Amino acid sequence: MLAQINQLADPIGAIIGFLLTLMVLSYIIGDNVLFRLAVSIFIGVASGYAAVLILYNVIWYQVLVPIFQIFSTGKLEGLPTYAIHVFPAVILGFWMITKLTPRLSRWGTPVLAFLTGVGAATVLAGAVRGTIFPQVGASVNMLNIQTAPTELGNIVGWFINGLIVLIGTATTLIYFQFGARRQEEGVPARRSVVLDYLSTAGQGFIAVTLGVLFAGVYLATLSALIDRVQFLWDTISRFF
Amino acid sequence: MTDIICPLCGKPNPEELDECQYCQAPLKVAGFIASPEDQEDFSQIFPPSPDQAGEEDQDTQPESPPPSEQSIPDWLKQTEASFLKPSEPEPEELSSEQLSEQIDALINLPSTPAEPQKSAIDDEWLTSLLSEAGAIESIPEGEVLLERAVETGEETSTPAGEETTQEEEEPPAVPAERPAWLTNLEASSNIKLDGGMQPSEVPEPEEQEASVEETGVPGASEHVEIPDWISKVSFEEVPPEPKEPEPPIEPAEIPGWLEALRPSEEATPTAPVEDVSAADVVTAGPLVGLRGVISAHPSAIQARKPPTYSIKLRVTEEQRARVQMMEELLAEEQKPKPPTSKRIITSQNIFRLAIALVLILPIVWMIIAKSQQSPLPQPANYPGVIDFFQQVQQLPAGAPVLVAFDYEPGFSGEMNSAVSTLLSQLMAKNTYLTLVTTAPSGVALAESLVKDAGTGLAGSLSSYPYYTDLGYLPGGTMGLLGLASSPKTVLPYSLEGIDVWASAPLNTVSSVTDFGAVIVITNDPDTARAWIEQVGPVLRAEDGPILMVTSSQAEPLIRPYYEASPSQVQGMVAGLAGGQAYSRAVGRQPQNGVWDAFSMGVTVSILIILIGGIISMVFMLQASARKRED
Amino acid sequence: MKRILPITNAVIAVVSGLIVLFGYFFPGLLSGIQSVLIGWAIIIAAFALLVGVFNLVMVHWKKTGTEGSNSIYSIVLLISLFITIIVAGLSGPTGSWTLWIFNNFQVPVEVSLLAVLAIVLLYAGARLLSRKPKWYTILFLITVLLVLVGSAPLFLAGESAPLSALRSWLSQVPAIAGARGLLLGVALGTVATGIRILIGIDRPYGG
Repeated sequence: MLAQINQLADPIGAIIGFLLTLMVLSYIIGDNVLFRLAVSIFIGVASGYAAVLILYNVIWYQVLVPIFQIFSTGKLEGLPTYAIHVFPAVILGFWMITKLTPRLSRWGTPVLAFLTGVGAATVLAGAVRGTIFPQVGASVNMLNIQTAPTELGNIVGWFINGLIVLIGTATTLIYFQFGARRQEEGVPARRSVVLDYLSTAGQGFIAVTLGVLFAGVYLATLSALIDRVQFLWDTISRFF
Repeated sequence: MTDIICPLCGKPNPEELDECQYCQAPLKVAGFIASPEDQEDFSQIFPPSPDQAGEEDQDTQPESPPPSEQSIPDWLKQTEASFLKPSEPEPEELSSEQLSEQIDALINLPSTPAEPQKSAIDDEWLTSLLSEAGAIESIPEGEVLLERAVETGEETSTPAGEETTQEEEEPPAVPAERPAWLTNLEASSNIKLDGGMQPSEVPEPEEQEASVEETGVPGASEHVEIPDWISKVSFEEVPPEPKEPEPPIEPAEIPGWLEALRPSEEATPTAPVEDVSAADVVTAGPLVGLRGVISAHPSAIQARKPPTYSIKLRVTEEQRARVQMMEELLAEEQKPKPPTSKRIITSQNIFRLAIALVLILPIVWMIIAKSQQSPLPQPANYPGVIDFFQQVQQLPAGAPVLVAFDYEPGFSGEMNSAVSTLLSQLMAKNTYLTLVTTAPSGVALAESLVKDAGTGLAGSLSSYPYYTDLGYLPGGTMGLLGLASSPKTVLPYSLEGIDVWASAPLNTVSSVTDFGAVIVITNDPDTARAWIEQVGPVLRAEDGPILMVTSSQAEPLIRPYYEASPSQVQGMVAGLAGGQAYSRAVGRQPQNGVWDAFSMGVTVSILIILIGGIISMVFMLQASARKRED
Repeated sequence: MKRILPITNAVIAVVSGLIVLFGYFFPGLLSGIQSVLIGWAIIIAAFALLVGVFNLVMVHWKKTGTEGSNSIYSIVLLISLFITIIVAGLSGPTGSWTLWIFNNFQVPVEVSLLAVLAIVLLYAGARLLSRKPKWYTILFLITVLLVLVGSAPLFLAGESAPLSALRSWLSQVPAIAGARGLLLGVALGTVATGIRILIGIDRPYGG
């Protein structure tokens, strides 16, 4: 019986996938019931799988199994580590459940505050040492003579490219600078003319970058479309 | 039961009350507790209102005087009784001339003492007093002096004869006599006397009492002590002195407030604006005899429930209709509007459907035909691919490699070819795959791909054995920081519950730098940036490589990290083209027509964008030309 | 209490954030506490995900009780959620039945959603010039076309070396310049926001 079920699992699964694919692709015609049903099924399956994964991966193996092992084996030397690293977090985690009810919601805010503080410090440090310093250094090193090619023809291209990257980076940052000097009363505040021109140049670089991004997104979606067409054809050819 | 007549409103009150229950006037003032007989006399002076007349008639006379009355001497009672006897008819109606005379009397205070009637009464009183005491019968001067001392508190020396003369000349200024006790009572209740004395002229109660005590006979006892000075007074007939011109009397210094009260001399007293001739005459209280007075009757000021007025608005039909309209509008706002059913067949949908058909049909054709006409991409055209391939090739055999499956299943169509190639290359080197993911769906994805890659590699049904799945790492950026510093702490067990850190080869791994390489497979540029920012600096310190397999959409934002100097990403495979190039570099040649379909799709897309752009521009120019014409 | 709780929340956020931040600068002194706090945050984040799933169930449970056609979607969602929990719970996150559900339900829908996006993006690209375009719109469109041309060989036309070289230059020089500017801008904004949170000015947790 189980073997039969296992044998039928693949074709049944293929049919289910086939139908769900068609239901979602029907959105090309317009929003409809089939599309919404398919999306509802997807959300339910994804959420359920995430919940099971958390229960397995974190609650069971990181919270419950260690304490069971400590008491079952009698090796209490792991207890202080558990008490410091895990137990307070479990208490805080259950405390956060108060956020579910509107009446007790504000009592769960300290836990969120803790998460926010730790998260803010983490991303702050990462941004500084992972992006700002290296990328500024990279922009400067674009014109580092030590990394220049030795051939003359290549040097010109290297220099122009480096200059373009440097100017592009700076003008892109200038474009996002929206401060202006206060003028007399009744006169609207304006940026300086130089900044205006530089920000216009930055606008151009941003347009190019966004164009590349748009093309990349489209290529990714095109690949997905090709994959679905291939799946549909494979399913049809499998059964017919 | 003895009832007390209120001196203000004239209504009877029970004797135990201290204040009138109708007008809250004090009933029991020192020296004033009128006996029932006196109350009758009193009622004659202050006759009750007609509606109260019946009540008073019904009231029984007190059988015994109340205790407070017993404290008043009989001579005083007699005096009061004689005072209360009406000596002249009470003028029930006052003409306007009489009223003006009263007002004049108010303005021009009589310098003479009281009326001759009063002096006559005083004389009789004093005469009787003295006769009882055996004093001289006629006491003209002393009488007058005595009287004044009692009443006015002033010492005058007007002879009695002149008084009588003045008495004849002067018209009665007031309609009734006002005894001093009554005057005091009224003064204490802050009632301006009508035609009576000025407040400054009201003697102090103590003074009055003292004067009464001085002159009065204590009680009804027979012992009448007559002061010595009376006996010393000799009443000699004084011939009428020739009338001497009276010395000009200097006008008294009138205080300012009194001056302000003086009516304008220029203004002649006019008749009342309102015709009060038909109004009722006040029969009780201090304003007795006047017409048109706002009734001070307790029933007028009696606390009662105010009349209720209807608060029903008078609404016209038009207003009612508008209100109803407003209510319907508000009710409609609260009702959730059902979504309007959109027409499926619209120009937009048709255009979109046409584009879809134009794009999909060639792709279908390529898939069905399994076309392989388009040349595969060259790895050299993709700089990151070569570096990626070389980094993987440089890994020692059996080395633990951390592979992070952080991409969504939706991008599996684009990235699965690159991932499969990577796994096959790693498996070929027998590297120990340590799988981890920061996305919940990555676990199942990793398992599926590893099992498929392992099966394909080994050519058998068994999967690749040299791997462990550490599972899901929650917390995002915070989890990556924890993984970078101590992976054993944040992921102590594998997904199967095995302590993989206790056995080889992970027992030699204490930090992320102990891995041969960290390979991140992601479609999200933010996830890639998080790995580069959190794990990258730790790896860079030990020259550990971090390699990326990304989607085409994330490539533009990850390339700056790859192109940086020093490089933050040591190798990068991006998109379907990069995956195909990587496959070619590894030596795998996919033969499923996907690349041709991709090529066809790109070509058709370029044509659709160009043609669509040209058509849109033509329409736009036509529309703007039409607008300019208009 | 109304004033004490927000201040307490701010103090908690600031103190915990500063400990983690200073752990980078004083690793010998604060690295231990930093790793403890990070460990707590990871476990709490897992609980947060569970709370999110539970909230999703509650919201859709309430919707099933309402009248209207939208309740059927909530019913379908809840049924699929509970079945997945039961099957994955019995089979395990990497069990065969769990992977069957994952590969035949989640993957097809997610890939199909992305496939529909291709049509929508192409339709948007075709209508880009329908309104009066600005100079950067045209530059954007030209860039898109050049990248598309260079990303794959044109059918029947083959690969064009100049176009491929142009595409490579576009993605390696001006696009990198713009991308680097964007990344630096994002990083600077992250630093500013992080500092505001760590000194208590911004309180996104609702304190």
